[in-house]
Amino acid sequence: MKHKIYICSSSCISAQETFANPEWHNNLHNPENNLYHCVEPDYKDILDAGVLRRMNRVQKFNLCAALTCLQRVNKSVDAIIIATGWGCIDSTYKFLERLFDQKGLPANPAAFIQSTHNTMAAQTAIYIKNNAYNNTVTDNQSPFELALDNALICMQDNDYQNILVGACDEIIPQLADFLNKISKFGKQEIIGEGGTCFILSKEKENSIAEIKYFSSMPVDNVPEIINNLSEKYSVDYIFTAQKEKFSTSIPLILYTDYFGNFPASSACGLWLAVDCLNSDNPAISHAQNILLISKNKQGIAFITVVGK
Amino acid sequence: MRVFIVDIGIISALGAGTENNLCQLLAMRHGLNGKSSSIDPDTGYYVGKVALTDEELSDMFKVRTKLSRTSLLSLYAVNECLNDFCSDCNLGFISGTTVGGMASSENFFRKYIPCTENPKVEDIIYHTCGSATTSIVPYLPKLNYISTINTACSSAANAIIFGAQKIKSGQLDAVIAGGSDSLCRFTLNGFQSLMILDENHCKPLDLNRSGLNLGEGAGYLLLMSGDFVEKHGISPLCELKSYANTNDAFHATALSDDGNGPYLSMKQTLDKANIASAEIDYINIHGTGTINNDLAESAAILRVFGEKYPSLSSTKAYTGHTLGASGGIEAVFSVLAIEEQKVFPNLNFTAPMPTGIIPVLKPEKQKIKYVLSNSFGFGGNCSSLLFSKI
Repeated sequence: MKHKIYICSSSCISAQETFANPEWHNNLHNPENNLYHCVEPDYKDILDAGVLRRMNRVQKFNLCAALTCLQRVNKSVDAIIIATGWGCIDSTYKFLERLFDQKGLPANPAAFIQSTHNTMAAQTAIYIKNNAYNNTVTDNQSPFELALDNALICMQDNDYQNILVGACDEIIPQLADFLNKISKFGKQEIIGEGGTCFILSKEKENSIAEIKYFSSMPVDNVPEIINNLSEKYSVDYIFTAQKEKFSTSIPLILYTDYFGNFPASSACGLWLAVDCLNSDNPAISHAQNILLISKNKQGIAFITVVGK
Repeated sequence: MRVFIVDIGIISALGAGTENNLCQLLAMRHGLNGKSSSIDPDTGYYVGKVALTDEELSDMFKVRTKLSRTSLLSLYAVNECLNDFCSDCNLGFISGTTVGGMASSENFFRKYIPCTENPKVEDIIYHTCGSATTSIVPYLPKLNYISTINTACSSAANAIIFGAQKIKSGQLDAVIAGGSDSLCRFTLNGFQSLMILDENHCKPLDLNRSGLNLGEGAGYLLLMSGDFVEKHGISPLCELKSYANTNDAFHATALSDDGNGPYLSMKQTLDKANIASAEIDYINIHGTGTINNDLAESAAILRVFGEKYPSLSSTKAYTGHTLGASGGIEAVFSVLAIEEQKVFPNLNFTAPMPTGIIPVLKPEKQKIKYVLSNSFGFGGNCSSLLFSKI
């Protein structure tokens, strides 16, 4: 990376009390019926009532996390880049229901407007009146890493000082039902949802972590690169979504145990890593440098090293 | 690092492939011959449908599974813009889409929602926007980077912008960048419910315009780095000189009256390249034919260019509005305008709006060095691309 990039703010709405409770790790929530639902804040305290009424859940996750991040640092951002895997699945399904339920009701324009992925980054821009670079990125496995990559590429340019980057997904019963059905021959996974945002900055002042390394690579290169990076950055923990096959003496943490599996879950993983660097989480103690791995089914992996 | 356009690929209502599209544009023949009732029996709008069926497209590329129409259209256009160097370079694929596999998913939901029949999993397995991109990866050369962008109707333009950024960063030698979207009931009914579909052929920039016509298709550019082009003695078609991605930050479905987002995307594009507004020879405008878009876009054009605005036209009346693909399709048209040194005339224009903007109405041979292409979307996502003759 051409510039040193710091994380100066982070916010996460997840199945744990990550949004409002700094001691969230002392009061862990368990999944119900293979599902992890978000512990949602009282949005009225954070979002304007008119906007709140129009938004779907995943947009609330995202906007709430974004605004909280921005309030903490009081910086304007030069780009808003948000990732999602499933998108606004609730509004999409509501619109489809009207089309196919055979009740003959007129189509619901509100659900249509709220159904597109780009409402994530775009509605944040509209809410905070931000005219800057605005992107919504999507992928089935690593949407957050693609958004983070987009942000880091922008940061190579002198015009960008601070960037809001995040990822969010929501679960609805029909999607959970479908995911359970197609995985019935494989291992039953805990499914989750969540919305996470970060502010990246070129300024070190008041930062809570530094992104020391970020790169994409062929999946086959992962074990060797992890070996090299572990030594170079004195990595204390490796965070992954799934159990890994390679052998390492470094403790492996499955962040999906806390948040469940969903496309944008690795953003919760990075949030957890930043939280561990700044708090006393007894399960992940004395962390100085944490390495995160994300892999997609096209054989591309992303590795991030975040440290104090 | 300079970014060049080395090849182009397109499929639209005008036809399959660059030659067919160009031939129709030059003859001022539009492709809006379909009726939406073939997709949704409850609607009867003009649509820009691609003539090739899913089966024909699948056979063409020996596709082994049931891919969504968005992916098949994408595969056609991507395949057209590949060259021999693609298998030998550090290649990325960045694609824009708004509906992803929706045309197939609707077959699933038609049975699933009223519980009338057992839906088929194969109809929904490629539903997501991400799958529209990744499902064609097995049919392409080795890719080291794959991403999907959804910024509504500016998706493909933003895929091209991000592709250029990846090349400029030195991380990739080449990127296939553009977008694809297929017609489906979801968007037909969505735009109908917002009352912005014209029941007849759309009239971009016209005083009496009353909405857009939907279309489908895909358009991609093969972008290559200056270093790679030089090293391998490749002669590019033109250069991607500059670009900007902005947000109007005004409303979820409407642009601000003074077109602030469009103004910023055009202005920043020119400023970054240090090119004066008077140097622009042609603007391929977003020009959907809706009351709001054309008003905001022309207000922004007057703010950037003044009364001496360049030759401009919308090509939406030829192809329909292809949503996430439109920025890719119109990037291909912009490259063709430079290649042909011709501006493609705006169809169905009879009287100007109060802004006084008059588009090019007849095929004209003119000197073209710089072409600006605009793409704006719901959510205020506004992007401009600047192409330059080499």
